[in-house]
Amino acid sequence: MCRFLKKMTLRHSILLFLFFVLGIIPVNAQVEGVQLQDTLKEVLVKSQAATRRLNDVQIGAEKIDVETMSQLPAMFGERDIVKSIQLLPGVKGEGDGLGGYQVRGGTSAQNHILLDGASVYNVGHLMGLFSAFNDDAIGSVELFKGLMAARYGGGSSSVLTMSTRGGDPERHHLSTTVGLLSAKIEADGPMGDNGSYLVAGRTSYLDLFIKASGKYSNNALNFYDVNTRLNYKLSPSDQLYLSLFRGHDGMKVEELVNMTWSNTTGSLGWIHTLSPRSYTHTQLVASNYATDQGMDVYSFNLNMKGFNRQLTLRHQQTWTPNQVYTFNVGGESTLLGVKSASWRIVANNECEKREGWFASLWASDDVSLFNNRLLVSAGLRCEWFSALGGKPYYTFNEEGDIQDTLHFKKGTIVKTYTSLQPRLSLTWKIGSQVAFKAGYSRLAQMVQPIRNSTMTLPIDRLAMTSNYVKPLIADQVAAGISVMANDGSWDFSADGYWKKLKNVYDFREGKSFNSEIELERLIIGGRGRAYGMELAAHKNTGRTTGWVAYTLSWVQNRIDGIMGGEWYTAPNDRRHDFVVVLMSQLSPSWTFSSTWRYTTGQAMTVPSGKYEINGETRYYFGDRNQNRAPDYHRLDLSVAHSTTKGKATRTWTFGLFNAYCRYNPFLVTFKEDDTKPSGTKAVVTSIFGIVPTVSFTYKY
Amino acid sequence: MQRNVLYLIILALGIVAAVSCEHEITFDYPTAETKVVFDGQISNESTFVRISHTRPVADSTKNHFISDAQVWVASDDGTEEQLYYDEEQQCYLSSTGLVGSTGHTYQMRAIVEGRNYEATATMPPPAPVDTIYFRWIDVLHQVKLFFVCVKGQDPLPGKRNYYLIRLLRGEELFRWNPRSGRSNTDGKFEYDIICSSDSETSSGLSDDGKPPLMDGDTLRMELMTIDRQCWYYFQSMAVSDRTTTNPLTNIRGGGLGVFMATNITRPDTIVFDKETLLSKESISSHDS
Repeated sequence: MCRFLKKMTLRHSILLFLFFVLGIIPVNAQVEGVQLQDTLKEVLVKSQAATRRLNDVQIGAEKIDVETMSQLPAMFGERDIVKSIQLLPGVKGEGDGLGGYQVRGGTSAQNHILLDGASVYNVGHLMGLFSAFNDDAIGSVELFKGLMAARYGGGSSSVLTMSTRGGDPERHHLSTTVGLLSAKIEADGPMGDNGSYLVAGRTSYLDLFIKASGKYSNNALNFYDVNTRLNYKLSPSDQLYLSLFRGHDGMKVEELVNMTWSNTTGSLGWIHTLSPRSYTHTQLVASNYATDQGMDVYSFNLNMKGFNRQLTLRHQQTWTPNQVYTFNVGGESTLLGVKSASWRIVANNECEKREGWFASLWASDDVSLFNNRLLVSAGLRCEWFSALGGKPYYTFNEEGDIQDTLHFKKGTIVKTYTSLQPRLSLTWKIGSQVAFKAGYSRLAQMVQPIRNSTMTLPIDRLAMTSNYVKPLIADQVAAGISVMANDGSWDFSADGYWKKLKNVYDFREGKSFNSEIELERLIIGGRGRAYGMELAAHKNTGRTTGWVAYTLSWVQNRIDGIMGGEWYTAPNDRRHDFVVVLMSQLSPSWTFSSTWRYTTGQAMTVPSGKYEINGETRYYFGDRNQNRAPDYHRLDLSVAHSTTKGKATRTWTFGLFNAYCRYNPFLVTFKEDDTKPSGTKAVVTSIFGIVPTVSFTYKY
Repeated sequence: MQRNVLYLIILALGIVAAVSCEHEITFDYPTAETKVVFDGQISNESTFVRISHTRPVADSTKNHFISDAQVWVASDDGTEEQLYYDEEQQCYLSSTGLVGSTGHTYQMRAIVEGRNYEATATMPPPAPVDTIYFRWIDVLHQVKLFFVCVKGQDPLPGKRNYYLIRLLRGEELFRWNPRSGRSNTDGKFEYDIICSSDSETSSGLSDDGKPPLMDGDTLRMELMTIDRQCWYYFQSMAVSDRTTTNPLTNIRGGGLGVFMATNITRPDTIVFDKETLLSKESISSHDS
């Protein structure tokens, strides 16, 4: 074994030396019978999903089956990738109508979402009512819940990778869906002899109703998104692709409020097959997340903007010399420009904008030993982040006041952080039905959205690593077991995890996103920890399929100046989470699906006393998050009827969102009421009661 | 501002679903250690310090005043005076008619139930007021909002000025709002304080428990210039119900509340008359 490892290390060393130092990619590895991973290939893994859960070396990796997702109940007739992710064990939503998701005790700000390798932020339309991603355009979706291969990074809680579906190189297709509030159209097909195209667009038409209302015509509530992917085969061993995405949201309330936010990404990729066992993947990626909030109420005139722009060059090589090893090495370099805010308040302009340089190198090896009984994925990722000069940097005292202003020339390095991130996952299989899994990973996050609430909003401010803000570091260990029935009809899994975070930033007490332009004055860093257990049972075959998932979890924070520096329950702590998903093929033309979710109420701080000051009764808040909002539970139902004539398929989908009309808490507030014996009442605001939905889809 | 944005978000979601609702729930409120609360100020008009206890949430009896404390106010000019407890006003007052002077820093010291508390505050110059009047705005053709607008001059042009604006109806506080003059580059300020809506004045019911603005109501404004630490207190108090955190007090020793040194300007009183106000055109924000 030792001799074996020595050989492996030598091979690694040679590879790394060639790649990193000489920039030469070895092309002479030849072993037959190895199938290459092809990132261009559409991945629909319905029949393989159960086997993959057992065989995947990465614990906590979830491959989202886009086809299965299409059968889940859809809100407002719109299938939603992000809301489907929220049904996985260890993943929770932020609340009714909100598009973010929380993974294993993390916040949605700690997720990194990649579309064709480009970073996408705030992935909800209409404040999260809809996902920013058109499912018609998405080919594969994979969620890593903290443990992942060395080639992934950027999020301290999870990484979600998505790739745009490639067009059919053989024939043209057209599909359109009309829902209650939005419509979408998708076309794909061959482009010459060697290429294919896909264009998908989606838009809301809420504005049509608003315009037609006459007196509300000066208001707007809209979104659109467009996905485009072009694939072109240059030669039998060279493929090019271009992927473009633009998502945009707008909200306007007369002349008072005008808010927009958008994601724009572009990925140009080249996949070069070096040999039947080796290929390279090179990407040039650009992304721009931009927000623009305007508010103009009499003398209060505010316009606030922010952005996160990235330009990335990424290169990696995958080499499978034999059935035992799969090596992956790569590196990337990213220039970042982050505007945490610029605002114009009446006549005064203030702006905080900075630049940074991010680089990473990684190497990993997936090893299959002892006749495939032991699977090992081991890797090391090294990241560097440098804050760049050109804009002022500061030093602060304990209260967050500026002590000194530091000026650096544009492009010079202000401070550099280095993060070494080991990644290790092990799977030990007993027969073909049982697998024990374990793993450890370290992740770093260089840009942290800072928010006052637990919700993802376009008013989040972005804190980039600087001389004051340190990278958010997350260490996670996890272990579990997967068991599959002999015929594959059922599989069960149980995972446990423990995670610790350092340099988690939050607003100082009493400070809000617009208290000062210098974001670092408003925030304070601390630590976090999360641990829990996830149980899941999947039924994979038969007319009725689905899964049941239960998560037991704890999330705690520790920040100097809060609760005397002691550990306290984090606001995103939800002790119990239970999900049931059922999908049934009632007949060749009728399908039925339902989801039910129960979640312990959100941890919250309630008043523990009250007093009078300034002529009013005010509440005194003691220990943080020691109480809970009411529990959350909701049933969604959906039934679809499809008819096929020739090459055309028509589908009517009817649904009930929140079928038994549970008014789940969105906000809990406390008010004084002299009619109450205590003088105080607690009021829950709910967003949705029962919402019927209908949509029509035509596919050709 | 963020609170307004949050309301707009909720409004937007409400437009989409049109099914949102509110309902009341019960809580077993936790009990915390009793805290001492200070509500004190030295101004160009007077000096007072009101001291009370926090009480359990289930206790509806207001104002648990403390009458046996020892309280001193000292100036950076070396003078110091011990305040006496006035049973009628239920607060500690100056027996010499102590008032503050612009630019001076004042320290309050108190011994309450054997514990020492103290706070310091600096008194900024007064802010001259040019005009004060009512105006209104129509939102979504559904809600008419009534504001009080005040225009005046920053006492320290070119610097950031901090204000606490208080509107009193009769002797009771009706509305208050902390403002910061960081945007007033021309040395002038213009602030709006939202007072009521048309539906509130019609129904006689308001969301905050206070009676809405009614015809004939007389409003008096106190325009108070304060230092930054006091402004942080009131700004954090304005969002404390949403952030569920306590306001950033300037009281040292474990107490709650604030001690401020303030110059108060009192513009003319104004009388609310809805019909007269609505007969004027709703002014768009760009006309202001």
